[in-house]
Amino acid sequence: MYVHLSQTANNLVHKASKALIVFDPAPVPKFLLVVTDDLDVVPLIHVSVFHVPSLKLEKIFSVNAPMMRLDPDLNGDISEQKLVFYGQQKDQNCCFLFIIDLENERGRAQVFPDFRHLVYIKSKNRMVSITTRGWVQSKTLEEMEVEALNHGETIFDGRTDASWVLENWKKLLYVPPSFLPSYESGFAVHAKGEVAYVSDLGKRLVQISFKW
Amino acid sequence: MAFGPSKLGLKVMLAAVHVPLLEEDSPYSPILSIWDIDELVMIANVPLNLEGLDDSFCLVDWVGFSEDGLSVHCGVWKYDIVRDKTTVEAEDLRELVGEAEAITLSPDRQRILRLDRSDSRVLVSTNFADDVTFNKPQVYTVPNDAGANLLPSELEYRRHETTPLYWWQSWWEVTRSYKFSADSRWFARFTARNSVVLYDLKQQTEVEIAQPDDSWSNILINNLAFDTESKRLAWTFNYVDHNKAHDTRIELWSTEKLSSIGGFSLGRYGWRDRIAFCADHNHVMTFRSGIATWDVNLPSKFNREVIEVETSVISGFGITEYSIRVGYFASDVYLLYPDKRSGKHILQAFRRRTGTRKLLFHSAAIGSNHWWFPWTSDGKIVAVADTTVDISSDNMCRKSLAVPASTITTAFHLPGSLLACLQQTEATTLHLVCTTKSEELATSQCMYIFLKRLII
Repeated sequence: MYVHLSQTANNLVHKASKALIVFDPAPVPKFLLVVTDDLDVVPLIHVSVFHVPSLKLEKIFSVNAPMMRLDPDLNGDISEQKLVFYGQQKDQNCCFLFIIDLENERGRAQVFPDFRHLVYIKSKNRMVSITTRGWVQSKTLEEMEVEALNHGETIFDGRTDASWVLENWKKLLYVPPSFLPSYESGFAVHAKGEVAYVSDLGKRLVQISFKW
Repeated sequence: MAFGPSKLGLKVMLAAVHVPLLEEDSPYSPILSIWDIDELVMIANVPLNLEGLDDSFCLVDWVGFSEDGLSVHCGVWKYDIVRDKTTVEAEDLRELVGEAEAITLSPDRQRILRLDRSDSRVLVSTNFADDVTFNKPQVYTVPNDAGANLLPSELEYRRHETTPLYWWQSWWEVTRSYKFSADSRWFARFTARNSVVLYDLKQQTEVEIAQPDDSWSNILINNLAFDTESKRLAWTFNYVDHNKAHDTRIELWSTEKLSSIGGFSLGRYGWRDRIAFCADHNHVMTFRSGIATWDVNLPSKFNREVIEVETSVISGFGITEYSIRVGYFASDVYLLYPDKRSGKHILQAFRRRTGTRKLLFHSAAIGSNHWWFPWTSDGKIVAVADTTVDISSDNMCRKSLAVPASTITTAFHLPGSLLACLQQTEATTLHLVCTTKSEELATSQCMYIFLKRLII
């Protein structure tokens, strides 16, 4: 679906509550994406594609979203014409992931209960998560897409009827409860096989290496 | 609960005293159960009654086997395993209990702590020679005791809730606020001022061994514990410090040296963990919503070392906020977090070869919540919101960029020297800026409602 700037009317302009800008990763970017959430009535994620450097709106489309409030900590990356868009609802110990096909304007969403953090490692094309129970685990995007295709929907909410989204993660390491990330800490993953965060114990930096 | 003695020829036994909660208003009717762990069979399940004391009850907060493993002691009771017989081992019990609603005993049964309906508590000895009187500390009642990460506001509310069981608050008070040592020489308690008082019951002395810092608030006592040799006392509490940082601490005291032997923070403010010494007294166990063991020497040693390299300590921020961003740039770890005292932000680098570096900077765009602004790096520059920081040298250099007012998020394309800003005023406008020339290249308005109406 295409919408042109000539159709602008002030009273139709939506105020984005949460937004993320993602540049085309090419050395000379040809486009950028603006991703916004819209949880009124029908939850949607809007993706607007703007030409760079003119900022001409090239296209805009929406994908269905699960009913959940997003934290402002939104993350996105583009890999092989797909937008990997993820974040969390921290107070619910819940993470979400959208894999959005920019060419075909389709997307699938997964919601992961009991996930503390979710990180995309582009060089590995893997998602890495840490659960509330302390498991650091990973799954490839290909595996996720195959699983999603097999279930034939667009939203897979592990909080309700799609608990399979929690299965088939490869366990990388276990963090005992005392050394879990503190509530206020983010979570970083290095592609060489290392995680970093600020732990509960004394609020100090923890780095743990692992094998993929 | 307690395990029986490990002796050749003796079965391994486990004893537990528990109170069945069969009805909403279940009375305090403890039951002693003993299991043969080798055979996995229950060998005793006996009620612990107090004949003639219908209005009072004896709270059981310890249980132990005799050295020969033939009997179990708890509260005022002794259970003879061979004879299957329970006896009350206190003379003139009615006189000892007096007007108290509940009592609890020292392991040697020479001291009785009386609890009545007032705030006054009396520790009496069996010869009534040296009573100790004090007021009970604040007792927080969380009926289901299940909530992890309870915020102070919730606890403040819940502390005024009444428990459905009349004896629950006394049990809570006894198990959280007071502790006899295993040899019955020491009695430790939290005070109404959240300090800790230690009584030497042999020397009949008392000393206040710890006071809370004046700047702390929302102090919630968790519990006290002695090691089995009565050489160490540990206690744990939650508090909010002057930086609004929420934390849980464990403190340790030597009854041999009569001095502090350290303490450490756990974080985990709302967990309300309790503690107990492990068989190896260099470890304490925290338990409630999770179980963890802590090497008490390691964090104390760690604390001393960290003081010497203060720059590596992450402190001074409101930790209830989701406030620490963590990322790898090249092979180093970087943190971004707000500095509450200055209202600025701190970018902190942890470099394996050269140590830590900190940069304190102000950002007009970030405001109080940096999570709206993703950061990015090419290994030489870290860029976030309206700021770029050169991290290629030890001296991190910062450059500020002009972004429109009311910018809600930004993104950098470092190879292309581009910055995109999403501005939200009456309309939502996208700006593209060249970072090297600080020059706006283009703008565009965004609209979504129109699209949504078409979809619906």
